[in-house]
Amino acid sequence: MLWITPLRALANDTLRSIKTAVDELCPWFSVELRTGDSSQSTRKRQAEKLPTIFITTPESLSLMISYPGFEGRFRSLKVVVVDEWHELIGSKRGVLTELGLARIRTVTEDIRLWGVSATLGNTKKALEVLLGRWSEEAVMIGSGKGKNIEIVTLLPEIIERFPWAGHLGITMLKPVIDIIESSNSTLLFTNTRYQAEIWYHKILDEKIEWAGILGLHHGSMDKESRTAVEQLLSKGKMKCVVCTSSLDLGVDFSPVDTVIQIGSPKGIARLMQRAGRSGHQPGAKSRLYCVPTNSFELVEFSAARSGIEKGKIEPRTPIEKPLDVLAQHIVTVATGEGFRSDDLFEEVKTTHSFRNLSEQEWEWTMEFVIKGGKALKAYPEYSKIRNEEGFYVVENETLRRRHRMSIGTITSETEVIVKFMNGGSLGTLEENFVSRLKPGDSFIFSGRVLEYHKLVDMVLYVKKSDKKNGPVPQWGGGRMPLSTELADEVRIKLREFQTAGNPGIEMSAISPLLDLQQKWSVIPMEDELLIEKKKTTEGFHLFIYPFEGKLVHEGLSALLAYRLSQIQSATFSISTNDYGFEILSTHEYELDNEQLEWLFAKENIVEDVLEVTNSTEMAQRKFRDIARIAGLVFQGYPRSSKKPKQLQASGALLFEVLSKYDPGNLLIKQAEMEVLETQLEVSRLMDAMKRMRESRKSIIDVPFITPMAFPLMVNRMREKLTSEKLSDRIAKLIANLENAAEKEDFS
Amino acid sequence: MINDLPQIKIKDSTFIALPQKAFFWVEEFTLLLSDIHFGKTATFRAAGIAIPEGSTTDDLKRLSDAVELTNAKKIIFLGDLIHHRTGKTRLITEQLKNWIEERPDKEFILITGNHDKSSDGISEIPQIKVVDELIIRNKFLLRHHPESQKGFFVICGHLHPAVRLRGTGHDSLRLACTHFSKNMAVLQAFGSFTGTSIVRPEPGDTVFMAHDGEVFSIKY
Repeated sequence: MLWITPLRALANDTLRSIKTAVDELCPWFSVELRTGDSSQSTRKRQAEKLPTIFITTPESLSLMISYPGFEGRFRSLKVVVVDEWHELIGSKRGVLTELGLARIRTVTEDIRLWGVSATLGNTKKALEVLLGRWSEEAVMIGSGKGKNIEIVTLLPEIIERFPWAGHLGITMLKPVIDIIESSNSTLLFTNTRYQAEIWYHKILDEKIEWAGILGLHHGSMDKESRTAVEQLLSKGKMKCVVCTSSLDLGVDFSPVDTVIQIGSPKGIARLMQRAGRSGHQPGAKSRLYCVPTNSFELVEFSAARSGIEKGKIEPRTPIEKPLDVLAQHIVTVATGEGFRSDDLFEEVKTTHSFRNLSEQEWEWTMEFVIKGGKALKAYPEYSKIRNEEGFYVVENETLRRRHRMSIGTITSETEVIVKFMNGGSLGTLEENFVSRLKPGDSFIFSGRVLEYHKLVDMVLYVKKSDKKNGPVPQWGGGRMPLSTELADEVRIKLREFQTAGNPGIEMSAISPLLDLQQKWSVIPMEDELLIEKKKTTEGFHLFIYPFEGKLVHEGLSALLAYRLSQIQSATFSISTNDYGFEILSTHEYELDNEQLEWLFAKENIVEDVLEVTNSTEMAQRKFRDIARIAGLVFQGYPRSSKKPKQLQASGALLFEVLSKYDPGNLLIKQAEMEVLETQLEVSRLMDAMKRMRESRKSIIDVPFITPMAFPLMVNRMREKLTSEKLSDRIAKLIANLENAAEKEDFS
Repeated sequence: MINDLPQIKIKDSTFIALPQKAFFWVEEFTLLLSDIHFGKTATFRAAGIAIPEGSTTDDLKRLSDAVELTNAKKIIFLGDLIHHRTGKTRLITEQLKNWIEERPDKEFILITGNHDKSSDGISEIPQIKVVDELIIRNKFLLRHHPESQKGFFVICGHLHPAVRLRGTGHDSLRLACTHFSKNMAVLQAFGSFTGTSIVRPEPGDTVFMAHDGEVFSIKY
């Protein structure tokens, strides 16, 4: 039996559980692990004879395929289990798994395939993807009753009527510490690594005595310190661990009895998953405390609770025929047993991801891995795969070794390694943050205040700083946009606030804000699009609220500004958040029916979006990952910071060279497609445009900047001003608006 | 025309920034350029990484333009002329050799860089004189690595410098450049298939950025 699991850490846990069962039931079974951490001797032994039950990761499965003899060793396989399939399905790792399973089907006679998945918005689809061509024969088994989840929101004492997403919820520090104190062991989830560092620091400032039992865990920290925290946690020796999505899944932390979520989880599934980290035993109740970082998040918590009750969980969309993964897989098979083109083409087409792979696409990918593509035909020095009478193999031992090093689809950022002078490693930082520091500067990382000593070859040497404080690094890509499902629930909550008798505690708590919104403007219903207009000394503001999440709003706002500029040219500045966006312009637009029709017209949406976004630059950035997966970038040997220097090139550089000298390259096209779908979310954007087009439009000239508009305005100002000046200005703005609101209260 | 280009004066010498990613040293009739990395794409191909050709021809074309524009007598490569021995194919060396043979009245000097060591020298083209370092006018020291030297203004390469220019909001642009500081000039990498590393100019420094046939300067 082969057991595939998405996480190495989980593999160890699974090994223990299976062994416990096997020791009782059938002690003659051998149970073993094979991950990237396995030793040479273990690998060698396993290469000769596989154990009865074999636990591995998708990457390690791919690695096994890259060794000759794979066919013989796997012929007797009877059962394959894919664990936590929901973690894999939406990613290229999922595609790698699909391809591995197709390979297994080819070399085995008759296997039984089990997929284990959490409930998804598209569980049935998940099943189809896992089984590919065999999905007709599938059976779905549910576990019956869902988990019992209780969500408790910590209400702030004062509800700000003009909230802005500037604070980190630190005002709630006291009640949070009280909860940790009264619990056995707590996981405190934040949405970003930046927040995690700050929360860790603030708690420790307040509770010095927790030094040693308060932990920090996030993806940029050194692996060893993370593992140490995980182990202490599962032994019940941690009072609290401040963490990010890095602990969303993984080992069973039975001692954890409390979970706290700082800020909105931005998705229903994520909140469920985090809640499930406590009370891990079957039948136990999971309790989760939510801590808002601004008043609007009260709505989101309330919406997430309803979402969970209704079972409205986000789907995970499988990835359609990524050619970079296919190219890697072809070389993997050629490095192992070798293949005939027609046979492998048929095999690959049995997967869900590549079911519609065309012959042209297959030919192109084959030509790419064999000759380097059309543009490379003339260069004799390039030969990776050899064609031996229709049979394709990689013969060069250096190339084989190098390919095995490159298997997998996870790419690491160009990051600076942080080390103590005496050698202890702390983790990684983004180059961008480091480039702003000078020797002698202090900063907070991995829960400590550190001093920059020197930077040598992408290693930052630090020592402990005497200072108490310093800047906290921000990592890119940490911000999650509101999911469609949660956004729908938010709209429902806003309607219920106006129509239902008892809208729930969070909605009641936030009523001072919503009442004011209603007084100065409206609270939009589900079929209504609210557009607020306001003239100030800055210019003409349009605040538009489609409730589609920040990512979609970025595209939408750029698109609408572009269309406005075609009605009458003007200068715009734009600001977006999860609920809506602001367009500030130098020209006042009527927004009559004719103009509205033009703004939301369905023609040329994609063309216009490409026109106004820096999509080429985005594609360049995307290309780094694609180039890595397809074997255009060699990341070097594991556990060695030394890369072969003569083989270094950045994704942007490769993108430039390939688009200039090999314009038909399908990997370039793939990068552009990925940008459209995942970065600009074009399909969601089209849906949003349709919804806006069909909605009843309420266009309101507002007397003051409304509570919903305020965070957008602050967002925009933040981009222009330094933080100190900013908080002064915000304080002044709030005072003015509160003044206006109070006058109305008394009139 | 060449007089319209940005220039900088160091110790009574004039250096004109060319749009071709090179500098013209007026008083010496010398063209200075660094880090061409010829044969880099071939090195990649030899390692089984599929990069098409094209940049070598483009780079030679740009080099011809620079020589024509300035009418330089002497061309000094400040290191890393050839990328790696595995990419030193006959095609590459012949292309370069032919280009140099077409210009018999010019003098060519290569200051050895780290890559020139790993590509086993350039003995195939005897017209290129190879030195480790070069002192000119007793004031300027030309070397590959950016190491300062007391009493000299150092002109070098190796770093492939770039600056990050920030626009409004999150907008930022990374541009390859030449970086003149108080006692050193680090030249922009000449080759089109080369990466960059960010430098942070101090007040008083000047950077020159040659891009798409144009050249800009910024004084910090």
